[in-house]
Amino acid sequence: MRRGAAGAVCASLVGMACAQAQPQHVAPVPIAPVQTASVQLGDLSLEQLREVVVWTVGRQREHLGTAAAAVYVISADDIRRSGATTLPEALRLAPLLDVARADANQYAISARGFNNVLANKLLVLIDGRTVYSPLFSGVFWEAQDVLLEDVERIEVVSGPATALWGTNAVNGLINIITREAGATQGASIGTSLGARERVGSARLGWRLGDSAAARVYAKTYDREATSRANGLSVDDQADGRLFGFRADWKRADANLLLQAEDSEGTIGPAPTARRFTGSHLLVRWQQDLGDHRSWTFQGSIEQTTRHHPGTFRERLRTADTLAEYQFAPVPGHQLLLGAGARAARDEVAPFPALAFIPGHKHMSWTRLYLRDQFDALRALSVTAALSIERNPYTGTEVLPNLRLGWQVRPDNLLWMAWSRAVRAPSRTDREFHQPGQPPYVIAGGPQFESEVSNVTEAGWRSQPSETWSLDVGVFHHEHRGLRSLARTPAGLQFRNDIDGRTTGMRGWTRWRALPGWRVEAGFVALRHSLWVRAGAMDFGGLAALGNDPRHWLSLRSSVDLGARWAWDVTVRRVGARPQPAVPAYTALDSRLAWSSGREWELALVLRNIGDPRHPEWGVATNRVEHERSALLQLQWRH
Amino acid sequence: MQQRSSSCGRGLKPLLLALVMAGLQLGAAAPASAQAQVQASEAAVKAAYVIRFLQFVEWPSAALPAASSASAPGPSAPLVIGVLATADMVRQVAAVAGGRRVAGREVVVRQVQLADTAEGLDVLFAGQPWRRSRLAETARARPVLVISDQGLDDLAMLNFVPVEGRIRFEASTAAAERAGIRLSSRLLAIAERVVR
Repeated sequence: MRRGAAGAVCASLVGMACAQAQPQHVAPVPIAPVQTASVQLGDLSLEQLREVVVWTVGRQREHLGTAAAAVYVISADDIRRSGATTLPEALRLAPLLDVARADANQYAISARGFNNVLANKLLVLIDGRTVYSPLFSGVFWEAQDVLLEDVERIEVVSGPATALWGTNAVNGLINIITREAGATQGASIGTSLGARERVGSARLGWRLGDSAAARVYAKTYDREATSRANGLSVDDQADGRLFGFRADWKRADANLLLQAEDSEGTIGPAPTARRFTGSHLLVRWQQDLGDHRSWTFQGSIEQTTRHHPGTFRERLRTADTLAEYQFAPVPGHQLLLGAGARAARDEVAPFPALAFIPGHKHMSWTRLYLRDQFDALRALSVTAALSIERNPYTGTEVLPNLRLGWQVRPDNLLWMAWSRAVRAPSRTDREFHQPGQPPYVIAGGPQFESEVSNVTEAGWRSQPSETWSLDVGVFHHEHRGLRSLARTPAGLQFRNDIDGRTTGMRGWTRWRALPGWRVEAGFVALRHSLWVRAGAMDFGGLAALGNDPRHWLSLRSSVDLGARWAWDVTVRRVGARPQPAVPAYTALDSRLAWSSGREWELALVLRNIGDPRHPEWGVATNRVEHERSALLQLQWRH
Repeated sequence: MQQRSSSCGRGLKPLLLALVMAGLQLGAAAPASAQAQVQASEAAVKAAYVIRFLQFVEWPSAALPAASSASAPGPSAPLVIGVLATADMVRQVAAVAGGRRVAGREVVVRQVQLADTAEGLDVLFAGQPWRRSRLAETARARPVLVISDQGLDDLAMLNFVPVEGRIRFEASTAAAERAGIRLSSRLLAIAERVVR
């Protein structure tokens, strides 16, 4: 049974960790910036000013530099130096994330465990637009693509961000931010060529008068199929393309963003090829009103379609609006007040193999959120946030969060946070039926309620010397009501009979060993303890929650050889996954690049140098193995 | 969920190989990688830069008013910074400047408009489009240090650029030389880019 179909949701309940994605609004972790008075900034040297992380009033959520949270920022430089050609590959750079490649196109990505191809506890945003399917509250990674050359940074937050973003950010948030049009002027053409994949992208940017700029861009890709250990291809060859446009208009106190994009992709051989499309329009207005006041308005409309011949067909239309107002009514308190509304019309055609009943559904979510940041004692900053959300299934959910940050010394931050995070039901939890007509094996989950996690986290961020920084933390999640499968006269149905806890620690460190040599290491270690409630019985739900290793770690070395050469080597080690069993593996990648200094860059990327092949995800008899590969990259910028 | 560890030894060899390769690497200049601990608003950072720049800049001696010296003690003329930006930005610059002295001169901050003249200014921060304005024309003829975030052009000598969530700057020695202003080599070394 192909993993690709959304209906792969629980194709076989026992033994195969099928993913039940559930639409969740993952909230980004609220930030508690330690506000520095202008006078203190005036004491900083030029070198220090260069390193100050900036939050722009109104865009505060985008800058998570010194939040009282586990935040990792993947910079544009990191992405370029890794040779990543797709978004999931770029996400491997964040030590907080467990990224497992299931086949040529699909990935299982999560933070804090419960990983699954249809993982449902992570909110993903691209330029402030949430990208997820309300079918399962997760992301079809094969359908999300961006021009990586024009990504400014990717902010990865692990831990609940529900107090600002609602019931989807239970385990973390990924915020992909692309460069403003003004920063991508001129022409840029890039291509990556290899035996396994070929990618081409182009962008043209220009100015529109003094205060505006625009760009158009396109990307196309083509991937070879992957194969199993026995050499048999799984026919997951893919190709796709995207076109996009972005315009920014800036004034000293306001800016306007307009973005539109259209993409499509195909997976598999011609007669039975799966096809998906997506297009969206996004507009955002931010204005600084002075006196620490600002407001933001954002609106987007989107349509996505998916078609797996004979198995699944869906069209989803979404409209989303958001308004935020930041102000400081009382000296010392910075308040954020926000309201958001989202409406979706989801049409899923019924098929013999599976059905969503009802097939067509209108859904809407509304939320109101409030955040207050203030300093309690001299070096202690407090962030209290609350979100109240109304979702289509469980009505109103209340999501509070409290963060404390203690600036022990200028370069030492100690923080703690408490959150009540909730994952509301998705269409899959309530309406998924297999097969498409009675008698049902799986008959939805009419009694399925929200999953609740009470989370306690703490962390320490420090820069012991000019060349060394580190960030470590621990976390503890108490889960109530995780999804289970109960046997009923109507068939198996989803219930909330699993409780448990997740405990773990994570950290990363950066060391500039020599002026031209930077080393970075990161790890996450976690352990789940999950059990079925007394008196209840579970039939495969526990295994379907996720398939997590006990640890994953990475080591990266970045070297600049002179002004022209750059060499990056990355080693990552991922522990064994329990069910379905996947052995632990170590992967070694390298990228050697030469730059002409002005316009050209040529690079050679080698992946999986150490082992000829290794699997990362799936059942032993059915999964693919990833082989050694080489990629030649060429980039020209004018 | 039960966890079962599988063979750990298998992946060790490539790991060692990677460490050895990393150890053999040498390098030239690499960007600082430390994650900043300080966070502030864009305006505050730019304001701090403006004041900090002052000690790395030399105005032509003819432009300086008679400085106080041992033989002629007395207050020397203040250093005037004109800010063409929002009121918030003016406040930020004034907050950083308050009480500071540069080369013995008191620092004074004024808000300027497009229709003003640059006469009497030693420093000008242009925070909004200002080409073809009276301010730009009059600044051209004077030894005024022009700092901007609108881009390096024939007038701006220092320009702010956002880089990875931080504010950095680029320099134009060409524009500075035209005005007779000298930018210290320390300043140029830290600039993201120098246009000559």
